[in-house]
Amino acid sequence: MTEVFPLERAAEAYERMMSNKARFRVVLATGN
Amino acid sequence: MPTSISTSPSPTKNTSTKTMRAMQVTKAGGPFELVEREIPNPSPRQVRVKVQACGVCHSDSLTKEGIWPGIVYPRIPGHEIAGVIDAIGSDVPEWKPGQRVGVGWFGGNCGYCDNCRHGKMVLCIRGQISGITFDGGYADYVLVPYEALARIPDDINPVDAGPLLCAGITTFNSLRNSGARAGDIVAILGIGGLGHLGVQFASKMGFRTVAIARGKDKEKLARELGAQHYIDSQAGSVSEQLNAKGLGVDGKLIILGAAMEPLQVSSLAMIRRTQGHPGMAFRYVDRFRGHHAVQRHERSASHDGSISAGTCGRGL
Repeated sequence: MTEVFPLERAAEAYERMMSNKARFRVVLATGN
Repeated sequence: MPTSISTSPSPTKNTSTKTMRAMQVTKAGGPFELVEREIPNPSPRQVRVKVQACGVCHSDSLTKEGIWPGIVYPRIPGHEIAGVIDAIGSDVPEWKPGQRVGVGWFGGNCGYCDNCRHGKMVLCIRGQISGITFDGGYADYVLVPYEALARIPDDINPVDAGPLLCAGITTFNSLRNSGARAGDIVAILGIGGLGHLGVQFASKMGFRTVAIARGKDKEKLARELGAQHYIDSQAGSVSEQLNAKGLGVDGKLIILGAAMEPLQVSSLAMIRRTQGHPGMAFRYVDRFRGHHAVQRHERSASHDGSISAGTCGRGL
């Protein structure tokens, strides 16, 4: 239920969330 | 679920270099910028959290687009934070480095105002908000007041835990505090970032769970998540599909979504059926105090996020 993006791709992750197409939560992962 | 995200902390190269990555916004409506910042040190009542994952919530747009008043830029968004305590301030009780923690929208409270004194810390008049009044979780590290922390159990992945800090707690607490009891009917309008969690919580709490969404695409998933009934809001009136008679006695329309358009409700219906329309935080979950049949008490929704005004008023 998550779509994972690396931290540096936050802009892309944000656009994905705003598109209402994410199924269902977009999450940034830092690798920490 | 990604398998590459460990639930345990690991050393990072940033600790040795004393810098961290952050995705900041420098002005309202501006782009995200990747910057390198010094790793900040906690003040006496703060902890430093090493961020493992941070959900991207629609309300991050309040920061990104400058919708929330008074934001001081540059600002790092993010309020669905899952991580590990990395350092603690001198006056922080109990919390220890290494503990898994989460941070949500609630970013601390004053403990002094009337709302705090009445136990409504989330409504504190001086309340801080993660990613809005202080830098949030789109970074390797974040400083937070210790009262904003929540423990994260060992058996949940950080990527899965992150969204529970906002979308999860919003839907879970709405249902938990709704007054509905097992067997009551709960209809969830919109199967998206919140609704997909709301259906799971509602079902597991023992409610008769109705999922309402546009089109047929989400029906299979909604049923897999626990919905016993599915309403396609594009296939005609939701009210008619449900044999609607409006909110039931003591029914509540719980509002979690901030629509710009005013809602219309019937004061007569509210009086005669002792109905309520409490606001929560994001989107909304319909809850109906049913008796036996799912068709007994329902109301109408024209599509996700908007209510066909007046329908609940006709439910007398």
